[in-house]
Amino acid sequence: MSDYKEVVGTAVVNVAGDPPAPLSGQLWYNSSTGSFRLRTFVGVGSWSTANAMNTKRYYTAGAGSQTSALCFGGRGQPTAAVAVTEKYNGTNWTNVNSMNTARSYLAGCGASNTAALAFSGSDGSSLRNDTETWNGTNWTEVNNLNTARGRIAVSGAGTNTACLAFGGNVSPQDHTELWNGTNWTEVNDLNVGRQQAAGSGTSTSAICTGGESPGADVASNEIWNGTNWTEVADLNSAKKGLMGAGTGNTSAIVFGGSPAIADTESWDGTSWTELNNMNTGRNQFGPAGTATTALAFGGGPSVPSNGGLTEEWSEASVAETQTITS
Amino acid sequence: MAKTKQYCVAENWGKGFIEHNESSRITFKGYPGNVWQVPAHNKAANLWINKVLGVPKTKDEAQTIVTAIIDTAQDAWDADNVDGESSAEKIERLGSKPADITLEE
Repeated sequence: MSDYKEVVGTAVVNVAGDPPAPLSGQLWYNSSTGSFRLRTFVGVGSWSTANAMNTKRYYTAGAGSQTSALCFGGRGQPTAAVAVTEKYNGTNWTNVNSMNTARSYLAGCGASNTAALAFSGSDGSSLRNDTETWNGTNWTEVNNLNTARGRIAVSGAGTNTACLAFGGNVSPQDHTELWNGTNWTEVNDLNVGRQQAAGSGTSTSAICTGGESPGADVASNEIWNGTNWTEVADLNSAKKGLMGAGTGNTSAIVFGGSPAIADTESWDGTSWTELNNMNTGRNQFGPAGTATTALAFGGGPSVPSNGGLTEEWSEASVAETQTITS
Repeated sequence: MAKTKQYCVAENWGKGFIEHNESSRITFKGYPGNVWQVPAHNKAANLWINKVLGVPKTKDEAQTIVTAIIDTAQDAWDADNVDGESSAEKIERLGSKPADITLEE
């Protein structure tokens, strides 16, 4: 077995107290307390309020980042499906040109408020397979999904030319389709069919979390490696209507859930950790961003005072000194 | 038993209403009607209420505000019907009926 000196190059320093500015990973012996001490950095995240959208809505979709986001479609209040699109610049939401097809229960992906993809959903009477692409000014209809459905989870961090859509409310709920910028192609299915799950990542490194499998909310969690889905560690609690943000299958957060859950959980590639809650619990809202800088906007439950609320998630590394107990 | 939560009404104006350094110290719970729950007997919570000009409410007063809004939303949900529509189809169209909310002491 290696000892500390072999690994680090120096022996453990003996200090009367703690050193004034220890480095990350530094270990020392505190002779005042008779204990070994270790300097680490931990991620601490929290949600803050941000300016509300102009149109209150739920069952909506989002794309982009915390400082360049897009919200499109959804169900307005009281109940009609809307085509309204708004862009966020890190401070305010501004109305821009609407989608061609009004719908709720839709999904979306894209890197910023100048490049996004909207697809699937319900117009109030039937499920849609329409896909539209956003160029920063207008929505243009492009090739449809193979299977019309709503309540799809999606991973689309990166571009609006490479996107993965999975699950949804059409049995057996395990469909996965890949968008290459021109066409949707059916690829390998989820292991656990579900709707209202959270998705994030890219078309080659994605994660699908929670949702409703026929008859029950699930905590099930699967990761996509570009070819197949693999079941990995479950969420701490089963839920549906939650949303996700992240850049791959080793880094993500999920937040919210039905009916008005405020929980936030973080995925590190191995397990889930509970973090600080959202300030206002919600479900079926729009997500954008990454595991360290995310955005949540709109959502249910369908009461007039909600629906436009926006919150920003930021995670920062904070220094922490630990006492080694064994 | 001493109360562990306190309530106020304050309009969420967006940026700066709840900041990161506030939500990392105390737990906020927002409810319909601009009702906010924060910890009782807590300096950071009291400072935040002062900052947002929150109007303190007892739990019962806060519950009355929240219940009135939920009742209105439930009535609207009950009244929104389409001929021949099943209950499952209605939930698919409207989402689930807004649920009752019970505030904590």
